[in-house]
Amino acid sequence: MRFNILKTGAVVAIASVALLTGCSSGGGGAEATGEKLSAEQVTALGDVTLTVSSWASGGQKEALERAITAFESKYSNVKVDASFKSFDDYGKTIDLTMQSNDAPDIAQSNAVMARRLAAGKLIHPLDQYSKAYGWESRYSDSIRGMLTVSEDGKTFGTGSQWGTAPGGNIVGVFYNTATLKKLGLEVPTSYDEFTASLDTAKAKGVQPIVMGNLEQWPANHVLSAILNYTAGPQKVQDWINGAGGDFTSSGFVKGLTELESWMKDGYISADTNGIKNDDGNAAFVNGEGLYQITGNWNTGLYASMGEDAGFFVLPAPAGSQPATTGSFDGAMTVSTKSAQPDLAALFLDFYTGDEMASSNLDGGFLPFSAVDPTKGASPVTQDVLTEWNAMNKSNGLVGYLDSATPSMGDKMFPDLQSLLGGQTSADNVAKDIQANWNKYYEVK
Amino acid sequence: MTLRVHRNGPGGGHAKSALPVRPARKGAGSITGPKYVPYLYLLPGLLLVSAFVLYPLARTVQISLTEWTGVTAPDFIGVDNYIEILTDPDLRSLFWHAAVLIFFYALVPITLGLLITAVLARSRVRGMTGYRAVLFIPQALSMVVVAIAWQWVFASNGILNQLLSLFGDEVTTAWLGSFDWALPAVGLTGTWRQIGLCMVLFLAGVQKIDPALYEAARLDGANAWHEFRYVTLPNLRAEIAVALTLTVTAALKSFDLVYLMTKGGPGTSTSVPGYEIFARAFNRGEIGSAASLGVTLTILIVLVAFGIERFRREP
Repeated sequence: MRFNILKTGAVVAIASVALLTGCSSGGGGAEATGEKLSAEQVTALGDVTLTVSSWASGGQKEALERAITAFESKYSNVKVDASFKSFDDYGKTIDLTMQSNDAPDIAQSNAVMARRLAAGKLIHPLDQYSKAYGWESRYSDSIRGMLTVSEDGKTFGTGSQWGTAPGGNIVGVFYNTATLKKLGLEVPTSYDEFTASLDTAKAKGVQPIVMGNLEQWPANHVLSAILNYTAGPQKVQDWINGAGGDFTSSGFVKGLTELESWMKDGYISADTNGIKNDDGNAAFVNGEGLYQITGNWNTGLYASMGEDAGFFVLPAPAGSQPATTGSFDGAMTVSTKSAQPDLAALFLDFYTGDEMASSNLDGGFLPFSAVDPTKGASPVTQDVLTEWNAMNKSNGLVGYLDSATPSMGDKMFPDLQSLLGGQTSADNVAKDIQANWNKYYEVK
Repeated sequence: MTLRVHRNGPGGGHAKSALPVRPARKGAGSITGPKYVPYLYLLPGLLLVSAFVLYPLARTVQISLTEWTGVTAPDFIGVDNYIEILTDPDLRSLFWHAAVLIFFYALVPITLGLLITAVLARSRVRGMTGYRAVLFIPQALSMVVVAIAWQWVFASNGILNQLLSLFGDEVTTAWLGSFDWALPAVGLTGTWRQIGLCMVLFLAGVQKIDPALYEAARLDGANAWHEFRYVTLPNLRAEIAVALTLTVTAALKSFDLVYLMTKGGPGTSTSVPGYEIFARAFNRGEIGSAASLGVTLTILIVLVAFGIERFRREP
């Protein structure tokens, strides 16, 4: 009897250890043919279920749900189950989720996650699907580059396509139309006119740029907008992709120095490092300040200003082409554990394609298939759409600086706070940022 | 197997017979059964602790010897991660920040807690339960609520600046954005939170002290300071040790307030080891170096807790 107890104990102990070490047989998914599925082929699959995992919330979540409903009614034998998590939770669990045997067929990813998922062979290369469905023509060169990553997950712009996206986002200058008029200014059309307008506002007692930088990241969008002109779009994109470049070279340092001088000249809110981003946004909406340099994710907030809010891409200096920071948004990947990779690709084609473009626009995406700007719900949304279409056409989008390495945000954002707080110099910030880059890309 | 039914444990001994019956110590057959039986009683607890504490701890140590993204296979790199911790000046500043937080999380609340306790201990206070409940509220509030409320207190147009402006020129410092003041500001928020815990502990401790001691001290001509120094303080030794352990540990492993209030900024002026572990593991996919920092922090906390325990035992 007692020995039985001991035996039971031992069995329990072994079982719990086995459970904890996660003994799993590595069950792989079905082969991806890379071919376009016809309606007949889909019907022939019988009753199938696709699972989708996403961090979409609010309008973007509704847009994905609309796509699912439409897809299910188009292919009645297919059911699509979507599960949603907050971005924070999602980012922290996606690696484990995608390694498990019940990984979702389709999973949302950003550039940082894509690196690890691609390196771990947890997602299918989508190049063949891209050809079959004609996704290539949707994206401008810059966006296509950002959706492509090398086999080891290190370098963007080379290797295989890792995801496809329903839309993108763009960073630019939001302005208060009424304040601009009061100051006797027109919408600036050149970089010099823009900096002159900062000076005018300051002289007349209006805060030129309102920015809450307590969360550390907001300042990097101002920097990246400037860098496109001081270093040039190609150099910035190459550096982000890991293809080469040096943050300590003159163009980059010039951008940092420009940001620093905007702070010193009082163009940026004096207490920016201590102002919550939300509070800065709220102040702008309530009529404080002339500009905010941030992304279209704030458009909904500014829409409440009606005619008083407008948007333009930071204008180019004489002799340069307009360029701005922007990227894809809501990119989706296909799991290598999926039993239905071809069907997953078909769904992605549907969700990111023309058919759902206006639904995706309503959800807050900027669709890659050009949408008529007059469809924008508010004056500021129409401005954003106009600039978005122009940038996509002219290939003017440049990625986000913090996707240069997995730890770039953690390095760069505090550095920029220190620069704005007068604790360090542009040269030192450049060196620190480049050291992080060199370490990741193993450059001596 | 036969069992002798006699209650003859050590210290027992209601033997009816004139002959003393010694507890059977050798071989199987005592009331308690074979020697391994007590261990069987411990087994469920041991299994739980092994599964949820010891095993994860061992794994963390194992992972700390690797370079690992969490997805691709880990590379064994020996103690390189630990060498980095010992040599990286940036990391040293994080431990220094934690030390500053010990001042605000532990020393200030305990001192203030003792002060208030000393005042209250000298007289019977009506509605003590009510006071205690109010003092304990900061402990009961969600950390997110605490962090956001204090962000507003320290904002450039917050209540702190409004109060300071009453005494002269308008003050508009954004305290959490200041490289000099952000860490003390986070620390003071911690003080506000911990003070309730300390006071409740001390007030409970004081009620155990025999009022006759105070009376005797007064008869001997002791003043308020003497009463505090020679009656209250020595009798609260255990409570102070508990308060120290809880608050110092909270300071060393602090993460939530920093994460919620400043994200370690401005620059890295409020970053602490706990926040760095989180950032490495979950933002950057540097699981190996995060694990090594976690192990280091654990060792440090165990050592400090051990030191405090020594303080409690010494007269």
